[in-house]
Amino acid sequence: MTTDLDTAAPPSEEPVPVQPGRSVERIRKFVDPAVFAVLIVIGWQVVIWIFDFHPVVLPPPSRVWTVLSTQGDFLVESMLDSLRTILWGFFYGSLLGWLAGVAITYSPTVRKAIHPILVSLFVVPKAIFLPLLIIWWGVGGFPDHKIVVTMLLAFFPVTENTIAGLSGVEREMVELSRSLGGSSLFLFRKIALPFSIPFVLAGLRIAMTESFIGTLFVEILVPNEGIGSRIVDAQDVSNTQFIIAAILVIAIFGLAAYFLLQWIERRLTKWY
Amino acid sequence: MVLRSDPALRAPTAWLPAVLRGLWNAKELILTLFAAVLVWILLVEFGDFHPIVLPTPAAVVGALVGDWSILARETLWSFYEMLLGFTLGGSLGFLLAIGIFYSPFLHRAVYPFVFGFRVVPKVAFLPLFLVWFGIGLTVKVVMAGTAVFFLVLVQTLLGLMTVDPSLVEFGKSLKMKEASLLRRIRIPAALPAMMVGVKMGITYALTNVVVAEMVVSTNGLGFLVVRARQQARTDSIIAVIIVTAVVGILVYQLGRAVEKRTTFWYFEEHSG
Repeated sequence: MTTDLDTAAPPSEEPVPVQPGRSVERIRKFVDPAVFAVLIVIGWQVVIWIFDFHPVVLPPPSRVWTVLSTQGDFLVESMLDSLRTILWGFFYGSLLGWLAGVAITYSPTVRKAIHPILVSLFVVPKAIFLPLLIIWWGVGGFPDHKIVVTMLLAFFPVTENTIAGLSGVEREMVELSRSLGGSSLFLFRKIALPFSIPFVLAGLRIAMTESFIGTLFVEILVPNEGIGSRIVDAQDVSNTQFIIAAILVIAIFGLAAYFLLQWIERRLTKWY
Repeated sequence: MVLRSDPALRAPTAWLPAVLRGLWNAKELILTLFAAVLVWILLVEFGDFHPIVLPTPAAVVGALVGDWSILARETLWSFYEMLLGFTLGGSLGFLLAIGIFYSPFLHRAVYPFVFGFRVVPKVAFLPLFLVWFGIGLTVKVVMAGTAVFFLVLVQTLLGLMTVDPSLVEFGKSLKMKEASLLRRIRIPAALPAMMVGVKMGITYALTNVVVAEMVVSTNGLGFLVVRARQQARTDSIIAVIIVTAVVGILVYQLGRAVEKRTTFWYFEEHSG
């Protein structure tokens, strides 16, 4: 039984269930969430009628819809600004994370020297490093300070999963390859590397979620560009409906990124 | 059942060789940390940096010692907020997981949204929470709670759905009612997965408390680091980072201890 979300084994995140056996079930799988969404919107409106909230505290759904329909392109544009940071940070962070994972797996010295430090940093709230990073890096250095923070967050899940994947290769496979005269490089390229792919991809999926967190956090704490900064602007002028609309846009992009990676994962690991 | 030898029964000097062996095994790690401090000292000595950019190690130790009472007080604040958020989010997550487990409608309708919101960075909600809850204790507790809520929910559900069916059959054959089946069989069997949620949840709670404190607060570790940055006291920034790192590691160890304590039988069966 896989119980660990964070380490080892490609984690199965969705408790699989609800057998899509009969067609009624299959339809309800889509209808029920829609019903629930409608219920939420109705409940939201009813709450406003009953408690008479000021629109700054809780704007009615219609106002959020107005923001989405009139400022939708502005929201998406800001989101794309953020997405550029997210993706660069994700790219650099996972690349470095993968390299660190390979180095730690294959060099006992490196493992003993830095792995304990990395494992410890994994559980430290990394937000706390931001002020120091900004002093050292400056705002607008290269790469951008936002990218550096995003890198930092994307780094760890990839490292841990790469180590888990590479060191999980069965002993028999290693010995078989050795006995047939396979070099270490051959072992790495043809056995360990393919074996580790599902683990690395699971790590990448976590890293993507972490990258969103990193970029959004910096944009909110040190506003300049991106959708996080626009949320702060909206908060300054008490434009609550804009904040809610922005959260929805972030959610859509976050889910899209997640499912894209999951799709790639399924394509690449059919054999697994 | 493994009988653990009581440390008090061992020879009084038995710890000394163990400690020495531990230090020897960690020699690479110790060397790395030593080298890092050495590089730091060399940079300060020959790099001609302004203390705002790079304070001396002595200044950082000075900040740690000089401000220890403030650091201790704010650490306790952060810890308190984390525990409140953890309790609140954890219990709600647990209850909703049981609801989703027993109701196919809830499962189909609510779970996709739970899943969706897990992918959205919680920090994006911060401006909204600020409008709703002000800058007091509540906003931080809610931020911590949201992180724990989703993790505990997903892990509890995962645990409940993967309980060994033969255990449940066994309970049914004893004519157990569903309530006692849940209490005596399902929940204990789901405990290992739940505890992963608890362990990670408590770490996430701390992270989110620190994030909230950095954006909107007048106390806690996150506030201290932001204030030190405003005062251009880089030595204090590094001191707060060190304290936060230690707190983060301790909180993770606390989570692990709880996990081991509550699911020792699982670890005895599965320790390799």
